[in-house]
Amino acid sequence: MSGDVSRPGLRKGGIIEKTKEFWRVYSRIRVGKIGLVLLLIYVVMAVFAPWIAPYNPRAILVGKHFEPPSWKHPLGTDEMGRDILSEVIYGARTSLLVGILAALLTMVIGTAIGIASGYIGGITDDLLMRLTDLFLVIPGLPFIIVLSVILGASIWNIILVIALIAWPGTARLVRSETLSLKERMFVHASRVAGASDFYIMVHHILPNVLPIVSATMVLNVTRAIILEAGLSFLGLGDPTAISWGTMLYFADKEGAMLSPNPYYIIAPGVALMGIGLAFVFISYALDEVVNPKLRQRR
Amino acid sequence: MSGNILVKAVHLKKYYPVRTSFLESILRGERIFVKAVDDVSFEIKRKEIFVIAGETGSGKTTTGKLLVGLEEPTSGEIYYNGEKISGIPIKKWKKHGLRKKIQMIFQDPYESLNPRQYVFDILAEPLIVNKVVSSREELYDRIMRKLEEVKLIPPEEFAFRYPHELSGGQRQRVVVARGMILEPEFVVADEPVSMLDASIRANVLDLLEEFRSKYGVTFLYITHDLATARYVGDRIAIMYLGKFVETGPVDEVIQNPQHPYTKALVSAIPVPDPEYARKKKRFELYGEIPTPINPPKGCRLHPRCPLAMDICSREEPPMVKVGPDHYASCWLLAKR
Repeated sequence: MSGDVSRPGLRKGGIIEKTKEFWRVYSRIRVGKIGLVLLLIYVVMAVFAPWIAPYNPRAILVGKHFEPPSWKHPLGTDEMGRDILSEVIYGARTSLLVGILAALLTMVIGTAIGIASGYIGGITDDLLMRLTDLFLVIPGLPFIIVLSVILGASIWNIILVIALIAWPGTARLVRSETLSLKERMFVHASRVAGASDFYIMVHHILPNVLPIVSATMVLNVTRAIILEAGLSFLGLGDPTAISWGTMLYFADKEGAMLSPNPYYIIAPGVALMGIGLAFVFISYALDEVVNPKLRQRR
Repeated sequence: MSGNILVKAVHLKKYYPVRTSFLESILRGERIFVKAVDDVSFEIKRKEIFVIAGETGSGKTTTGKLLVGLEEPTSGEIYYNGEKISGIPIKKWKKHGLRKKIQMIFQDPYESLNPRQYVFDILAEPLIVNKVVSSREELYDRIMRKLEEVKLIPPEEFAFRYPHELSGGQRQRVVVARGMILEPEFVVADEPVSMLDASIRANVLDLLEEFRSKYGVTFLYITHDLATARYVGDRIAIMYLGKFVETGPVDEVIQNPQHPYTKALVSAIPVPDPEYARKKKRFELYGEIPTPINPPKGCRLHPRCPLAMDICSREEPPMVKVGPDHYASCWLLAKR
């Protein structure tokens, strides 16, 4: 009964205290910290692109064709004489946008279907889970390719398409979590209090599945980024957006590997690898935070 | 008399089907059920604290759940205030105005509070979903008042805490407050103190007594502990394997138990005086409570009863009047 109640923010369980506790556990995991630093670099690149990038990434003939790296163009230039460093910096915007929005959309669809399926049960559960199975067995890449050809190439369509094939995993996870939550005593208590099913799903189930969902969301971001790059590499990306995948597509098409500037292919590749690693590291660390059983004694 | 009766259960049964393999169901030729509650009838008077006592697995919690609508009876009826309420699905309770009248206090203060809600939100929920408050201020006032009534004082200090920041006793007070916040007429209290230290049990039980004298609330108190039953209860029913074996006024049943099962329970109450305890002759049963799947034929206690006779394994004993308002179901008491 001690504890300073006059300063609610400092109370145990307050948001500040929770963040501190979260950070205390998280900061002990080395890869987690590496991931965060990496991600921070990309975020800075994306947010401050106009100030960091030495050239307009779309401006052609700022140098000659396939110029090798120099002080003027640290990563050289592409077939149209654009500055590759600037393109890579701007590419972070596309990747983060697609990655985060697609993962968010995945999370929304997956959580909604998972909770509805697990909580309502019966025929609803059967129908939703068979639908989930259907999406699970559809071969991802061909499906995406077909859909993005039908819908047309734009960033928003790519986000939609990625979310469409990624949600079943989240839905299954949320459903199993919901199945155990709905038998918890506080859900029965809520029912006796007179709460409707919808009220219970929103106020009791949802807040309790969110931590586990947000941990998997990080991995979904990586997946979305790689998928976007893959689509763009196949020439199905948004041609108006500057994206690492699109860069790779043109680099491949124009034979960059045999050109005087191989960095045209290496730079976006490394950028993709780095952002993928960043999110994988973070998700690895989050897994340990959310699931105390994985924590090693340190 | 009937005007004085608030809750009435008639031949209440709750069977749960047991999942069996296909082959097994063919071989047995019948479905198997867990007979959690098997033909139980009782009446609860207004402003009474009626106790159902029994071991784990005796069906007492299921009986409680039937009365608040969490489970629907397999057969039998429940009447509330003379109106039949069994058969009304729990989702329609609000529409029938039952939700505000019948509430429940849950057993486990660790499990029955959502760990991600403030005490305030936990208590606000019944008021909000039943639309009984019209303004933010009214909501706040009612919650603070209820917290004071359950002796969480000062209420402002407790309202914006999470359950895990409270002690077991404080949590249980929150659970009591949630059960009482709609100002119900009838409350099922399912082992409200079984998770608490003995030293704070009486304090929480006193709350029930207070709500009864202040608001005239009727309670069904479910417990496995005869000591607390005697502390709060007026009348008691001893339950064994889904059936009542003895009913009557609490003091009478505990001081003068008639059924062998009640005798065994009473004799198992710990006595603080070791000298006396050593001299006291204990009445003990054999073994442990069997599963309620296929309960023993005849008297359900007969395989464990030291006084069992031939007839006990063949026929079910009738309820016999053994004193004023005191009934027991045993062949030893029946006139043959």
